[in-house]
Amino acid sequence: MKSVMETISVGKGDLGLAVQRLLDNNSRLVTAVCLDQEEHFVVKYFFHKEPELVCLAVKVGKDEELPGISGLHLNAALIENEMKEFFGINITGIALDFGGRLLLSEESPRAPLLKKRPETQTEG
Amino acid sequence: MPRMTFPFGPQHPVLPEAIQLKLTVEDERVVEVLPAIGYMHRGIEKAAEKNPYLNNVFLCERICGICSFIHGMAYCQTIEEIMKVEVPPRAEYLRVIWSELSRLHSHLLWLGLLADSFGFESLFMQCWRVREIVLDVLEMTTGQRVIQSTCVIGGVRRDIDAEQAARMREMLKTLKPQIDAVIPVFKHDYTIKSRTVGRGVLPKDQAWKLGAVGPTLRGSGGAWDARMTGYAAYDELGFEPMVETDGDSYARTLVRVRETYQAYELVLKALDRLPEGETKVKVKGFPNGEAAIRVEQPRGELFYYALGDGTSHLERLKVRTPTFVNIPALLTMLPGCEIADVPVIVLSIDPCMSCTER
Amino acid sequence: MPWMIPNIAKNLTGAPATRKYPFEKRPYFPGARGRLEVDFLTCTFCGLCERVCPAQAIKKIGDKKDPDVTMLYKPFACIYCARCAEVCKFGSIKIFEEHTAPADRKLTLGREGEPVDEEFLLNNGF
Repeated sequence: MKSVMETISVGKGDLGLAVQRLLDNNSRLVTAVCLDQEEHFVVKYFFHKEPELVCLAVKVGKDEELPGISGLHLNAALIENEMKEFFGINITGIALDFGGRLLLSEESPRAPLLKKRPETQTEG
Repeated sequence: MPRMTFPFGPQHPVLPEAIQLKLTVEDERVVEVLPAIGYMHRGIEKAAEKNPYLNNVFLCERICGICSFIHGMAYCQTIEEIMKVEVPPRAEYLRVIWSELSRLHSHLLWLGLLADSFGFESLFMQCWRVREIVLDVLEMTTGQRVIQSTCVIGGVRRDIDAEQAARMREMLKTLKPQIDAVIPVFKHDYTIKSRTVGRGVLPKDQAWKLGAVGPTLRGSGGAWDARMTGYAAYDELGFEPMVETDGDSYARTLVRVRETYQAYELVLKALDRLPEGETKVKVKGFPNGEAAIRVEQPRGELFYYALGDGTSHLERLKVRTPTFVNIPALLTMLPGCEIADVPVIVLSIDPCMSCTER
Repeated sequence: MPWMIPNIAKNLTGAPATRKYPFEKRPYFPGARGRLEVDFLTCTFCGLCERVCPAQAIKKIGDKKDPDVTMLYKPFACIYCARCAEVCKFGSIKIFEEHTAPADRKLTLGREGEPVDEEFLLNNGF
């Protein structure tokens, strides 16, 4: 029914370039999925490239910074906010930064989708 | 001109669900909009990791109350893709029937809400009265009006037998003249045109770049519909996306009006061609691997991603709903419009906040 | 407005579009999922329904061989998906078309369909 999805692994530094190349091809971001894999995060950016999906996979360490792509593609702003909130992943340069208050409130647990919850549950 | 910021929502007569827009206005004109969501976050993605994967179908159906069947179907398709399950053709057709019935009732509901957003109460009532027939058809065939719970991994749980199909045709036959009576008002009425034509314009290239999906994109001339990928039985039934080019609220209304008829035709077509055979295959084992699936909801393209690690519980389930990506498009539609038009424009993307926040 | 005349005539002479609800009820469609009932005379306490229930509305207390094994059912946690009725090998769980009646508190039903205090049972070694 469906063909196999194309997955491209890119480094953290090359992400902007790879995204720009896809955007120049009239592709657009469908969504980004963050996966918690013990020592690091894997962020998968799914792009709609007529008519298939293309996946860009980026490996990020737990305390590393990930440059956001919302400067290139405004659509990514809400998605990046959500990832930052649910995983505590440090994404920089979000065009519309809600500061961790997009979906969660002040009393909510921090980074709820992490496999191992951090020690401190509330933000200081 | 002094600027003023005031909140629109989260409680507002036209909004069925809670979203807040912080509008910065100059006199009567909106210059800047900031959204604030998060009033209905339920943590369904986390709950999906804690439930056995077979039970998640019922959880996913509860993401949205209007298109619950399509959510359940999308989840089943994702898991079937991971586990390489071949769904029997009869089940594929039944899935099309139920998802198009969902679209039919969702669009009728939305048309009513649009009429309500500028105070056309009698049209609102008539639209919802027509919708009741669709809900009756759904209750008769699935057992429940809104949360159908008929889709399971490997097929569907209920079958439409010949007797039910005959009764369904009969009910749908009474539906057609009633839709015909309501729809011309949306096409020709002066009140509706004066409130929607030229309001909230979204140009085609911008709609594409901002990631708009569904009727919001198609109203701007972008011919993309996830049904074009031919999931379930759509490739056999033949499918053409409905496209309007003006990009204003009226164009989005017309797209939905035409999709209402299209959904009606698709239900009957699928019912005519319903193949004989099994409705369900047995699924054994646990999902191991990942899959990403896109299906078309009444509001636009719905994206499901699941990662299984060979145990009974999923490692990760990600749901991206259409309203989530339509919000950036909404933010570019609003600046420049008048305050009185804000409710109509917000409604024209058909916001479903409980979908968005999951 | 001459084009309105047939419509006016129809509305004046025709029956109302609504139903006088408490006196006149719409019949349920066959196969609608409404009320759930467990027949404990045929139930073997295998616990299959407990495992498939997505809402954890059915709970088995005690071992299958125990003489005082019991089953709790929470009708207000139940989502009426009828998965339990589907998997039951003994036909002990039946789903009826009419809906559960409203109540002023969330009840938990025991073996005989009588309301029980779940906390009490759990704390007293059941």
